[in-house]
Order: sequence, then structure tokens, then C-alpha cells
Amino acid sequence: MPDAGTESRGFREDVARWLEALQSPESADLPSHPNLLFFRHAGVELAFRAIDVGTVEAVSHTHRVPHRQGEVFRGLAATRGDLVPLGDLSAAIDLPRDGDEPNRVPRLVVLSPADADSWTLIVDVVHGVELSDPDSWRTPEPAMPFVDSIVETPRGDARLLDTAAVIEGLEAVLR
Amino acid sequence: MSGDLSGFSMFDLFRDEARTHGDVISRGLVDLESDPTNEKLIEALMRAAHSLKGAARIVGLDLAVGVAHAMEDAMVAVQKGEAVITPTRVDQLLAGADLLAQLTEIEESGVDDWTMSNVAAADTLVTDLRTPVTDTPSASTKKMDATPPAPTESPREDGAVRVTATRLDQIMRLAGESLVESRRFRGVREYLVQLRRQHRTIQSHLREARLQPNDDTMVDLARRQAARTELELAEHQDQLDIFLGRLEELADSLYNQVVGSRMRPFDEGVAMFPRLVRDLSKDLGKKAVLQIEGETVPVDRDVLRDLEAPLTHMLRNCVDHGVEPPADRIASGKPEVATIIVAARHQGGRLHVTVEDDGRGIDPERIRSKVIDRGLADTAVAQALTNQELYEFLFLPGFSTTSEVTDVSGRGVGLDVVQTMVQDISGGVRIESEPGRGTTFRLTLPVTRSVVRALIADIGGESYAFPLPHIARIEKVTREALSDDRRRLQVGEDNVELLDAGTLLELDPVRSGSWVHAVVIGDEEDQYALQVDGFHGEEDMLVRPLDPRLGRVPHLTAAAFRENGEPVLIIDVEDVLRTARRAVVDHAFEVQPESAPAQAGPRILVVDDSITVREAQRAILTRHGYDVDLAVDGAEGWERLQRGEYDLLITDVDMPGMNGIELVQTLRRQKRFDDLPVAVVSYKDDVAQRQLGLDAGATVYLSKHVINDDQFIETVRSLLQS
Repeated sequence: MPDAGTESRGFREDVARWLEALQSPESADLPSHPNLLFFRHAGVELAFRAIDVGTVEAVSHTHRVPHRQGEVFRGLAATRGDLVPLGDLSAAIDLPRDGDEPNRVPRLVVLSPADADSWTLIVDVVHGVELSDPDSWRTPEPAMPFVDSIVETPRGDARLLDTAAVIEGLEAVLR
Repeated sequence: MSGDLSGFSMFDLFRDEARTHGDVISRGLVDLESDPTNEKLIEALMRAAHSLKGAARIVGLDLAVGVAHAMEDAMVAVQKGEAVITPTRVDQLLAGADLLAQLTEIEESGVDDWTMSNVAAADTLVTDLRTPVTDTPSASTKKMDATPPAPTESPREDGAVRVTATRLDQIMRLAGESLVESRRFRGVREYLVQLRRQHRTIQSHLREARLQPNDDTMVDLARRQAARTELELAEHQDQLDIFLGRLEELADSLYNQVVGSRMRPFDEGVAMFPRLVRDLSKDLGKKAVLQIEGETVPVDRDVLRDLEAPLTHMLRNCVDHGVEPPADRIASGKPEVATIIVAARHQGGRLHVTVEDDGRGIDPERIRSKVIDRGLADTAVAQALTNQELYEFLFLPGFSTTSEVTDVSGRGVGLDVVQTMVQDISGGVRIESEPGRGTTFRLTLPVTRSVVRALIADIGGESYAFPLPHIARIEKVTREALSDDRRRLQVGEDNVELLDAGTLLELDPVRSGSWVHAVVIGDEEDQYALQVDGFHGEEDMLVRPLDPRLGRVPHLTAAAFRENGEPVLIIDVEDVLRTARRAVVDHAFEVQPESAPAQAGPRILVVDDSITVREAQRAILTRHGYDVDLAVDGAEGWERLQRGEYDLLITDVDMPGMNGIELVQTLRRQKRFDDLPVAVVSYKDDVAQRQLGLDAGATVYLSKHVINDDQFIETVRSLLQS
């Protein structure tokens, strides 16, 4: 079995490198092939556009917020010296509940799109950041709420989530 | 503003200087009016006008140069005895100060517009200042708008902060030292790599030794290597202790310096009030002066800013309703000029601000009759109310004892607004009054909103901070100290209402154990005990506002991070007190009686990546009456441990992500888990693995083969009993 610390460190470094590469000006070299962050949650393969992802971390500390807890808003997550609202992705986008994930390695995904406030989500498994050709994406049929496109991956079809819609759903519970 | 100014434009610097000199002129002129021959004051005013003129010239503000020059000349004329200070001249000079003060509020890009729209007013003002005065006020002068500031965020919130050069130097020095010290971590890391190598060598020797049981060579080698490693470890531990001590010291100093840079003298936040009182009393045909005490008392700049609106309300109330007309004052044997004192001092870690006048005071009987008239209490109850209780009615929205409506403060300034504003910054306000002698508003506020020393308490498995100045005391008592209905806590002669903090916060009710932990809040007359799960001691914390998207969260003021990086929410004790008072009436939030569901069986957390093993353990443990939670790996287990409260942890070793050994090591680093028994359960059952588990902090190491045996459940019972 690989050393967990090494594995975790390697993962963090990989993600940091990918995200840095994506969010640097050089990323404009491949405007037609955006990077996607692929992950699995509640047994469903999913993806976010990596440009919308601030970082991916090991889950450290979270804290409930009295009088504000609900199905979707789960409290605050500590990330890099900040406390960011923590959402329940399953509840927010209506994924199946209680799906058993045999290889669960929970990670904290920090969504930080340019035009919205940050949110954090705990997801079951993060596969990593990969370039993807939009020409290969399919429109979901029938249309699925929160899903922008269907992306083929070696792990099967992944739902590319519409970050703005997801965040809008998360924000709605706080209003 | 001093130190490195490269980040500021010349106009930024002018604005800062104009603000400083403008304050000196405004306050000096108000004082000069009552002391018109004070030479030192005249000299200071002349110098301030002169400096303002020079600064305006540097940035090319000719209009401002002209006004400042005329103000300077007017003061020079007084110095030379060619002119005297009269109310009219003071009004003209104040109008000049007001005009120049506008420049401190505009951006550089707005200067041309400002100039265009003020040319005429400036010309008139300069002409007036150069004309000998009569006793009649000049038509061209403008007065400061005495309208109370709206309770909104200051537009200058993100503006420049003044930090002295000395403090900035200290911060730079400490930051530099921190940088150097932090680099020593590289050495620590290198040593850890070396240590890991040595550890592998020892393991390798031991493996070889097992293959050659009759040859002690490898065992000797391993022993020697282990001894060497131990010596090195001890040496490095000493170095690390010194290093950590130094780093903590540096961080502490740096933190104090940065926090200190937020503090401003009280005087800076109240400099405008003498002028306000002067203009207001003049408008109302009254005579009043404002004295400020505790000018140098340091106050956090945010608190100072938030104090401006409530102080303005109270001062307007004092002048409008408290201060009598001069004739009335003389008739009642008082000085013609009323004195209002705004004083600040630190006491018990809080900022105490008083606003005191020697006016007519508040007649409690008028409040009493108003209370009865409005049906706020029946006559018998109203008659029994003390003066202090009657004054509390003044904080009710729309409550007033006066039928007279004035332009200044309506029918009695909305003291409810004052109370709300003060409560918003975690403060409190009380009124004391003596009819015929005057009224005092007493405000108790935090010295800073940036740092708080607080008691950390556990509620629902998470940390909450109670700021120390709000705590009367804490109690850890046996359940015998509870009244029979568990609604009151009896300690010595004290008998206080007991409320469940978990229920109050809409979390799980506090779990009852053999000990009751309670935080007692409120003053001596009005105390409540808030039952919590336990205490974690005191810590200084840097306060961070809660995410604004959460809106105002009842019972919370802010968030912070504990020294170990764990987030903590800070309790708004004043808000809790308000809720507690209401709750006592309808018996909400009381601690549940013995038969309540809070008395569940021991709670066990099972962490295992195998669904079969997890479910097997759950079935066995549930069958024996235990409350079982499950986690699929160490990270989730750690997450659950932090959120919930468990009596026993049972964990597998080999799991993805955080494994069982890492989980046990992690929790053993936290004091709150010192007493948590841990059973490590694994298929790996050799001596080395057992030792690894026990060294990590496990209480017992079990083979998974025993899960279906009585030994498993007996071990669980024994661990829970211990």
C-alpha cells in the first residue's frame, strides 16, 4: 500500500500545479481545450471547469453554524486561513443519497469562480485535472438541472456541472 | 501617516494632513469661543491654518490656499491685537474649516468639480474674513450639518490607516526575523528525512536478524543504530523546543504590534463633537460646552467608527432635552452654561464610555405614567418599578416622555436606535439620572473587535468562544448541584437558571454526564447558567467577521481560529442573555430531565473501509445497546470525531487516505481526546504491527478475527468502563 502521506502530498502538488497552469496567462494557449476537474460523488462521475476551482485540499476542519444548518448549507470549512461556506453537493444538485463509495478519499473542493463568492464542497473522490475537447461534449438529453454537458472519460460519462447554477443553488439557501 | 509613503499619492498625503489640521482648527475654535484671549490656542490655530495653506499649495489647490491664507491672516490679526474673536468670526473660521474639510472626502479626480462649485462661497468667505467683524452673524457663513450620521458603513472603511514610523519599523523587524526563523524549518525537514532513513536501516537489520535467529550481529547493529538515533532525536528535540519558543515569541510580538496599529486614541473619534454641541446649543438658544476626558485611551478604529452614530444621538438628546435654557438654569441655581462630559476609560477589559450632562434629568414619574397610559404595564406593576427599570422603557421603539416635537431630535431621540447600534458592536447601554441634576448614559463596549480573549467551550462536539469580559464565572459541578427539576443550578448561595446551550443554538442537546459544565453569564442581579459539554481553557483569538452571506446569525458575533487551527464561533453573550430572559418565561432551552433521549447509551465510532466489516461491527455493537456511527476512512473518522462526541473509537489500520495509525496519532495530538479509548482492529496481527498501533496511542490492538467472538464485545465493555 502506498504511503498515505506521500500519496496525499503528491496529489496536492499535482492539483496545485494543474490549477496554477490553468489559471496563469499561459492557459490562453489552449483556449479551446479547457481543463476540467474530474471527481466522483455519491457514485456519480462529475466535473467542474478547473478555472472555477480555487483549490482542492484534504478535509481538515469544519464547523456547523447554529440557526443556519440545513440540507444544503452544512457550515463553514477552514481553508487556507479562511472560513468558507460548506455546501452539500448531493443535496444541492439532487444526487442520490447514501451511495456507498468504496474508495472514498474525501477532498475539499473550493469553488472560486471569478464572478461569485467562494463555496466549499466535500466530494468522495477526486480524479484530477485533465484537458478536455469541447467538441466531444454532448448536451444532456433530457436536460439535467445543474449539468452543462456530458463529457466522456475512461471512467465513463461525467456530468460537467454548471458552476454558476450550482453556486446559485447554494446561495439560494442562505437568502 | 509616516514610514513608507510610496504607495500614497500627493493628494492622499494632503487629505491626511488636511484632516489633522482641520480637527485642530474645529476643536480649537470651539474652545476659543469660550476663551477668546488664549494666546496658545490662537498660536495653534494660526499654525494649523498656515500648514494647511502650505499643503494645499503643494498639490495646486489655489482655492484652498486662498481660504487657508485668509484664516491664517485672521488669526494673525488677533495675535497682533488688531482684531478680537467674536462669535461671528468663529462662525466664519468654522465655515472655512468646513469648506476645507470637504477636500478630505473627495477623490483627486473630483477636485476640479469641487473648485468650480465652491469658487463663489470661497470668495465670499475670504472677503468676510478680511473684513472687520460686528456682533451680527455673517450671512455668507455655513454651519456644520448637525444631522446625526446614518448608521451605515463608513466610506473610509478601506482607506489608509495611520501607523507610526516606530511601530512600522518594529513590524518590519519582527516580520524579517520571522522569515529568517521560519527557514530553519528546512533543517528540521532534512533531519526528518535522515531519521526516516535511519529508521529503515533499523527495520532492515531487524528483518535480517529474524532470518538469522542465531546471529546477534544484526540485532546489535539495530540496537546501536537505535541508540544513536535516540541521542540525535533528543538533541534535535531540544533545538526544536528552542526554535519553537522563539517562533512563538516572534509571532506573538508581531501579532501584538499589528493589533496595536489598529488602536487609535479616543480623542480621534470624538474630535467633531465639541463643534456639534456648540452649533446645536446655539441653534436652540442654549449654552453648553462639551468636555472630553480620556482623550488618549486607545480604542480599536472600528469601535471608534461605530461609536460615532450612537454618541451623536446621545449628545443631540442631551442638548435638546437635557440641557435647560440659560434663564431656567440660572433660576435653578446652576451655571448658565451647561457642561456635557464624554469620558472614556478601560476597565475589566472593556471600554467604558459615559455621556453625562448637568441638565434637568429624567423624571421617572413621567415615564411611569406613560407606561401606564400606553398599557405597557398595569398600574400595580408600574408602581412597583424601580427608577432603573423605568429608564429601560426609554429604549423601547417610539417611547418618549415628551410631547414636544423638535427639528433636532423629534420627540426624544430614538434611544432604541442607540441601543441597537451599541448592541451591534457587542456592547450595552444603561441610563442613570437624577431629576434636576442631570443624566448619564453608560456604554460598555469591547476595546477592540479584532482580538478577544475567550473561554473555549464545547457545545455539540464543536468549539464556541465566550469572550471573558462577558462571563461572570464558570462552574464544573456534580449533578447534585442541580435542582430536582434540573432547571436551576445551586452553587453555594447562588441559585441560577440553567439553560441548555445546545438547544439554544438549535444543535443537539448537551449530553449529560456525571459532571455539569456551565458558563454563568449576566450581572449579579440577572444571571443565567448555560450548560455546555465541557471547557477547553482560555485563548486569545483574532476575530474575523462571519461571512456576510450568512446574514445576522442569532447568538453569534464572529468567528476565529483556535491556536490549533480549529475554527471557533464566538458567542454573542448579550444576545444570549436577551434570549435567556425570554426563554425562562416559556421554559425553552431548559436542560432535559433524566428520562430525555439525551441519555443515550455509549456512543461508538467505527472506522473501516470495508463495508462488510463496518456492518458486522455495527450489528454486534447495536445488538448490545450501543449507539454506533460509521466512517469509511481515517479522514471521515477524524471529521466525525471533531463534530460529535464519542465514548470509544474502533478503527481499522489499512485504509485509503488517512489510515488508522494516522487517525490515532492525529487525535492523540489533541488534549480533548486524551481520555478517549481507542481500539485498533486489523487483520495484521504481528508483534511489530501491534506495537505500531499501541505506540500511535491505541488503547488496545485487536485482531479482526475476534470480531465475532465474545472477546470483541468484552473488550468494548472493558474499554468503556475504564
